[in-house]
Amino acid sequence: MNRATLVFAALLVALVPLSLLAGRVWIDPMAPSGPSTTLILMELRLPRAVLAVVIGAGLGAAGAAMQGYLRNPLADPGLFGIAPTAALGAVASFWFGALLPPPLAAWSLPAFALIGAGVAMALLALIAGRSLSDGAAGAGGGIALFTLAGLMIASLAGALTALAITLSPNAFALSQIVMWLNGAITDRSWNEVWIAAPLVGLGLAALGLAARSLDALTLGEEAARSLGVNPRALLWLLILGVGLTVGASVAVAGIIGFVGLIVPHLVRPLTDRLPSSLIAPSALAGACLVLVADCAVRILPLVTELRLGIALSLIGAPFFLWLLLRLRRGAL
Amino acid sequence: MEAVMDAAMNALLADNLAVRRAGRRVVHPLSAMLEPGTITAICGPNGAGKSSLIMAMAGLLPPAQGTVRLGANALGALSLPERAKALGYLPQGSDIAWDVSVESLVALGRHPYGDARQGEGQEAVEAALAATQTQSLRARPVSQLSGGEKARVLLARVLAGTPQWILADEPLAALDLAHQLSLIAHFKRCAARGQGVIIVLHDLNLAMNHADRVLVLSKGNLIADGPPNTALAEGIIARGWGVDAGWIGEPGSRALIASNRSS
Repeated sequence: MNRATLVFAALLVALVPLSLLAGRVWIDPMAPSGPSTTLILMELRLPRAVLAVVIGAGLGAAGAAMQGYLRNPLADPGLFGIAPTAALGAVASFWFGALLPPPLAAWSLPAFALIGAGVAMALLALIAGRSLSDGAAGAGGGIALFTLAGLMIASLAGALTALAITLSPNAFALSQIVMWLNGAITDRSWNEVWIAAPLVGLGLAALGLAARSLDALTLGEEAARSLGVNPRALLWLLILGVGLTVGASVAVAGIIGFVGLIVPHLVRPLTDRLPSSLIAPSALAGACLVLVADCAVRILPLVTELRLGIALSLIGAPFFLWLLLRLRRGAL
Repeated sequence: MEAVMDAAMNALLADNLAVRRAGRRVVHPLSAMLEPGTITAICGPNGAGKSSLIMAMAGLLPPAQGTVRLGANALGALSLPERAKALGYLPQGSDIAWDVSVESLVALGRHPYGDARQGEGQEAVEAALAATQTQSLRARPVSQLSGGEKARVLLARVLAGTPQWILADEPLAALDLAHQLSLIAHFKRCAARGQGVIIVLHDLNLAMNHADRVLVLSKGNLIADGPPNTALAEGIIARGWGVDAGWIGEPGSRALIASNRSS
């Protein structure tokens, strides 16, 4: 338990109750609560807050782990291509979901998205087996090769998603798909929480197990292997951890970018900068960021609610730019 | 007799070892038994296979043929933590991904034990900082170290793992003369404590004056193996590097005068 963990845990404990009060209907904690207030709190705001925490925690921790694995502060969980593939699965559900019997059809979107994430993880594991075979590991650059493979999966999934959009049967489906691709957690219920929370929890556990090996990677691939790190076991833990956290969040909320990229940078100055000391506080800070962003989108007085994915990109892109300029000055 | 047995128990042995990289044979079968308590230098022109050999000796490249043994065990038969505890490897260059403090960096050397912050591990980290005279740097971020300080800190990282063997790939390459000699002095102290030291060296003067034994590689072949004055004799240098060269000075402070071949 380091300083950053305490700071962001305290922040999260303060933010969760505040977030419950904020929204189109402001709730006065001092006023006697009526049945509608209880309904808003228990069935709308609380599941939404819990979902924001779950998704944010997963994305933040996945970002910290990816930056550690690639030894690069500009890395993002998106580099493994899990999110676009899960999104492709979700888009497929707009096409094929209607073919399923009604009781299943209700769950087709998260199910298809999780299948998409699973396909990406399986592909990555297959590529991992090849790119990190003993010979290739000896030649070095196994990690770089693997990352390129992840990027290719991402572009392929992106292209197939674009194809699905252009071929969409009608304008309504088209707008549904486009809306969904820009992630949001509006009107989510406890059902989505029950889908995402266990998977994100498992993913966080996998990333936690990878933490010490990621520390050793600070010294480079060869030095890490000489310290007893098994590159293939590490990669499998990462595929599992990033796949579950990112896949589960896309399945319930659509694509929410930039959290994994930004959060480790907020946390890093409060730690000793080793990846292992970043993962837990990045999970907590990611939870705070998504929670705050989600409150902001529902308070903003717009005609329709701003999509969470768009809001985070609006914050994320300028932040990323600032980061690049700082990197040039050698401040990182 | 017991001492001889001890040495054989901890010896690092390349037995008919050959190494392939990217489908090409970069080290042709060679055998050498290296003994702890000494400094062995691996020398040779660029591309001779020095890095490949030291990586194979560290268990980081699988042998294409033959084996590397630590005492009685083939390296491949050791578990990853066992191998990591016995063999400390210092890679070429000083690439550190994150701007961690010196103390955190050195503590990474305890990875195979997982005890950097407690008991024995803490003591080993302290001892490594002391041995490399880097205690005063402990809180400093690695980005603020000079080249010489960084080299000492990276060596401290290896020492923190208290390995039986230290295998360092060109640890002196980026250092000025004073820092080269100071780092060599650290390696000598390690050898005096009974650790085995294997270093890839480009500077033949340093190899001649400070190594106990020199292996000379050329195009993947072991062309000489012995004490420096025989392994680095003029004829071997002419064969390995293709230059005319002669040693001047007294043993312990000899210097190489080399010139391109006129013919």
